[in-house]
Amino acid sequence: MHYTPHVDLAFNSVEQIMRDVEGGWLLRYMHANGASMFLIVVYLHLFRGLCHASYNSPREFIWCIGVVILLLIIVTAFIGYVPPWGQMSFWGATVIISLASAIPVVGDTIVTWLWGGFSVDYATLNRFFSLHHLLPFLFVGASLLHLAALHQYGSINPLGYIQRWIKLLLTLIFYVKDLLGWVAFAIFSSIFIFYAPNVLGHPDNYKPANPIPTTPHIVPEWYFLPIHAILPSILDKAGGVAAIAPIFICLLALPFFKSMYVRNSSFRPIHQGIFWLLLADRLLLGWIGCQPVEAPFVTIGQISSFVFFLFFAITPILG
Amino acid sequence: MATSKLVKAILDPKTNWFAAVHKKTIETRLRKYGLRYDDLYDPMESLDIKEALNRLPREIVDARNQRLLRAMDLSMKHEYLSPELQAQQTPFRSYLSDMLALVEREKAERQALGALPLQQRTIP
Repeated sequence: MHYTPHVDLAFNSVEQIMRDVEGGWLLRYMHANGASMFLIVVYLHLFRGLCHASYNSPREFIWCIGVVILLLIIVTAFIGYVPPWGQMSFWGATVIISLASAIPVVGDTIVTWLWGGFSVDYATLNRFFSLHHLLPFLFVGASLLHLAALHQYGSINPLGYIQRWIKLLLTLIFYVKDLLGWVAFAIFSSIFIFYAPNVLGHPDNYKPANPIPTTPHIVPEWYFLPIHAILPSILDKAGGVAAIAPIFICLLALPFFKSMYVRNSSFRPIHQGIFWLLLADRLLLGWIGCQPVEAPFVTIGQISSFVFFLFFAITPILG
Repeated sequence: MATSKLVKAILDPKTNWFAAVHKKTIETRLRKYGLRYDDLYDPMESLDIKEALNRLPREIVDARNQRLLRAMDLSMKHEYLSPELQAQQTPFRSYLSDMLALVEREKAERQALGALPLQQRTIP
């Protein structure tokens, strides 16, 4: 294996993979952009579920497992950003893990425990590399559980109604239908890998990690920007950190809100309008996440964060 | 209760313009697929709906299933009913709501008396 998880060698080993290893550039770009493509699909899947209210009874378990998978993916993606050992890797890990210090009493202990020391260093790099390799096996297992739970009650459809006695053949119809999607997505993905491999990344990560000069603008990858935008929306550090947990708690709690008998937003125009508002809000939050923490971005971020949580507050009322 | 009567009065399409537009929007969408509003109730979602459907006459349930089959076929092909057929639809002609309300009242009565429910869902 060509990558070396050592603070003095990691960055150069990645550069060696890019330049000297046969096909190394392709593998590296496929891996980096593959993460973005994977998360595009995950977000599409999640929002499709929100639109069609797939989380409703009797599919609560599928939804909850899905949220757990999302959490595992987020953690895997976050810790996977550290091994290249660029400036953004170092400072991103420093900033995000140090958020845990906002936890009262045990916060600093937790931060030290996660870092494996008093700062992001060799121990952090080594354990993050190992965990980045281990966690995908966990979410593969969770995915199999997700599929098993799905097969208990079957898939939903755009009308929101299940018929057990009429089903379409997976192998014949959906395989061909999905093949078109796979090919189209492969072309989309290839455009990024071959023509714009660094557009979704940050140029600061091509500088070797240096603990002395802080990167002026520390931003996570695009798929974390909406969550990252909610952090500074609450001006108190502890409050901002505490605002992250409700995102996933709201997602987990969705199936257990009181719901109408009519599931699908196709026949619930108000819910449909609010869903599109949520999507627009998420995109706005994503933009806010990569802006500096100053006026007017903070105000826009606060309003957007409020609207985001309002969706979960309104859903039980609308049913 | 007075509160629910007030809410119903406020949300009545006959008195509230927004409610009328909302109802019209749902009616248009139901007509496109040839469905009734009661057809959207999923027996897998709630055992009350399943029980209510079991108590309905067979012809009504068969007609419901035929409408659903037709709607799912249209949905899969991304098509709608022809305008002539759409004009014949009766989206808000109810056949299930009364029976469902009866089932829910019986369930509430059983609960109030401390009896176990007739059906319980297995988890997950």
